[in-house]
Amino acid sequence: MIILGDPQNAQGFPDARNLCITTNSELTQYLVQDFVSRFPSFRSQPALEAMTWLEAESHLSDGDMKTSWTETMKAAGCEAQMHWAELGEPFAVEVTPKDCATGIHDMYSVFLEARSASISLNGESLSGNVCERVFFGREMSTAFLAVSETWVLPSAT
Amino acid sequence: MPLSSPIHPGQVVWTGENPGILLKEDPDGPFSAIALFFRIYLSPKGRGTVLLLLDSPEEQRTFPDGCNVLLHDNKELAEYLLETFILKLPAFAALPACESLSLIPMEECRSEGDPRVRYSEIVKAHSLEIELVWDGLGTPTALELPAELTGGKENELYTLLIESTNPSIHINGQRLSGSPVERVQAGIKTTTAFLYFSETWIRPA
Repeated sequence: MIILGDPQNAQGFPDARNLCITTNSELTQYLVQDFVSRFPSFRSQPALEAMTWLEAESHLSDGDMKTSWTETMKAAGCEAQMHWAELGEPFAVEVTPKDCATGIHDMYSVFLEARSASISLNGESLSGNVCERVFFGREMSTAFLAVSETWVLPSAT
Repeated sequence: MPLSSPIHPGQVVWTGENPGILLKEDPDGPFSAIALFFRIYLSPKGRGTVLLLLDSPEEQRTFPDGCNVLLHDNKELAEYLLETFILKLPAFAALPACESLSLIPMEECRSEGDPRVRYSEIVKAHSLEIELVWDGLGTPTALELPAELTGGKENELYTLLIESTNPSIHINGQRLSGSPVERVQAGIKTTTAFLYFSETWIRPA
């Protein structure tokens, strides 16, 4: 779980609310380097390089994906929670490199838009609200669940 | 095949994981043991875990005389998958065991291992401890199939196939006999033991 509560601040937790909690550091380094750092919303955010890496002590998923969903991760001195509510109908997407966030992959996924969402660190909610953006050619919230996601590197031929 | 818009116009039916193991004692004979596992994230009946296990697919032997069972942590989901998915697959529809399945609540379920090498699902229910093992795993292949190339021929499918050449089914520590056999899916030669991850069924618009 990557949380950039102060994305413009090149400091880690607890000086800034920028952290990553993981069960597999090698996997996370791969995901940050090859995926997250290429996503437009994360690219060039000073906090991404400065965030503090914490080893996960526990992870819990809760909810039904009909109305709400919550992911909670705990590490030493930190409990981070992401909560999605007012969920929409699920829809499948099939994205080519032209529309893909990395610019080089095909991506298959099932998305559920959340009309409201929150992030909290040690019980304290981060400020801000979800907003609208154009996503896959449609006005959509900046909060979403994505499940059964597969990223494919197209063959060279 | 790329869509004109990245958003599929169809309706998501269910999405999750659906690995399976089908074994034969005689390559030309019927299946001698079958396990089909579901870890569902999203469906009309909610989320949950279901395991169809048939230790004698050609017989109507109810539990505990036989181990032809449908284990679940969500009964509604189990019945939904049985009716709308499992019994629509040609390999399952005509099996006598499917006519006398015992539905049993699951007490525990966990996955172990690494899908690059060896992966397993461990399920506990009633007096049963079941271990499904997929060993000798191959390279993952992403599949995008139109309805006519799927078993049920109703819905489109996105999935990630990882074939296993050395699978096994264990019930209370005892390994069921039989081996996987070759099968062809959408022109791809593979085996009757497989991991299917990121599986999404879509009803065409």
